Amino acid sequence: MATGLHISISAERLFTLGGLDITNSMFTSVLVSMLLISFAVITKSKLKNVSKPTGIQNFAEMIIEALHGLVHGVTSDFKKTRLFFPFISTFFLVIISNNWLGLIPGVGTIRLLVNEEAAQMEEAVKHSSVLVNSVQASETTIIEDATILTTDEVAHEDSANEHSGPVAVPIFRPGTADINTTISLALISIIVTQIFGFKYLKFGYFKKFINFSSPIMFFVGILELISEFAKIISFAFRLFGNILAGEILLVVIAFLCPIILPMPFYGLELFVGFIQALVFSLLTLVFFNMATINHEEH
Amino acid sequence: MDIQLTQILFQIINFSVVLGVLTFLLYKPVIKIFDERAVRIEEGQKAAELAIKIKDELDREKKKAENEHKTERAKILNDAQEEAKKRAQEIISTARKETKEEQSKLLDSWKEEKIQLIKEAKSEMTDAIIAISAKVIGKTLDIKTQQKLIDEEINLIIKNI
Repeated sequence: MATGLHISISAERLFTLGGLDITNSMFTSVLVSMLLISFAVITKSKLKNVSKPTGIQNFAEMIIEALHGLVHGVTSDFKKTRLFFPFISTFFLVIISNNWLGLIPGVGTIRLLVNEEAAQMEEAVKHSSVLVNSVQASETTIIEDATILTTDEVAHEDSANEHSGPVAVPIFRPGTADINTTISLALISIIVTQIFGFKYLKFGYFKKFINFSSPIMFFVGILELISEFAKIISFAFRLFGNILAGEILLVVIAFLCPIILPMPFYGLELFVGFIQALVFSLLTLVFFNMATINHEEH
Repeated sequence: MDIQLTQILFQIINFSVVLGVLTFLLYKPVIKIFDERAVRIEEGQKAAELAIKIKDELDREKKKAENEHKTERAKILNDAQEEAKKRAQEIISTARKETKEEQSKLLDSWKEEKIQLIKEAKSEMTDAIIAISAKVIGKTLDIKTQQKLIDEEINLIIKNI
């Protein structure tokens, strides 16, 4: 019987590498990247220009043809399809791989013992150095930082009292179940949208945001600008929320009844994982396409 | 939730690497194969269309030739039939002619034979009559007189026949 539920909204630190905290979601993301790169390398080495492809080439062609068709169906423009396709496919493959990797038994349950105390000490040292810098800056800041430090220290002490020894942290956590990953994907999507918009419409693209032709258009421009930021939030939280909710659901169901009952939920999560990857890719594709169409045209 | 800029940057770099590697190792080569295959299919379609065109052309020519042959055959058959009819008529008329000739020849020879037979019979009968009459009258008539009498009698018999 399980000792208890382990649910964490944020990714957990596994180790520190050159000052960078490596979390379990980062570790899984890198693993997914390695798998995708390995798949690409193996496919490339086995590619043959034949009429009837077999094996891994057949599988790769099937995926790429489907995604290429999807992109071309939206753009209806050969040049745009070729430009957008790598981004859309990579978004889809990275997201679906991360989503589905979270469903493999062992992900979330295989744990690593991490010395949390040491990590907390490091964090405390960081805060202390912030404090020292702040002291040099001004007295007011010292008081504020000192208050913060005191609160943090109290929290760390409480935590240290709870876990006197090393803490067991899951080694694997789906990348998409970490808000940092989904924010980074959303940022890439929105930044690349602006780049494509500028590439196609040049400075005319910015008319969408800054338009002095009429007060209404000016207001619409501001709304458009806000909507670009809203897209980042919506992209990031939709994916993160769906995948994390699925993870939590599976953990809870498995905790309540570990036999048979989780199976339909696994099926559901497979579907959700696919749909979320598709939604993210399709929305990105639509935003890319809309950004490259002249504002007066649509 | 713990939003950290370093982690976001790490994920952006991670995604960029995957994007670059997949683009160069997977998407581009596979799409190149798609393009080449599309060209091949297009060429194949063109070749097939051309082959269909050629086939249609050949079919048309074949039909035309068949029709020509049919007409020619009918004409030859017709000519042959006419020729045969003509020939048959010729043969029949020739045969008839020959038959008639043969018939007339046979009739002539039969007449000649008949005359010959009559002559022979006449001569035999003459000899017999002379011999009988010599015995009956007891004297011998000269040959010319006898012959005259016999001839008169025989001609009378022949007339009666």
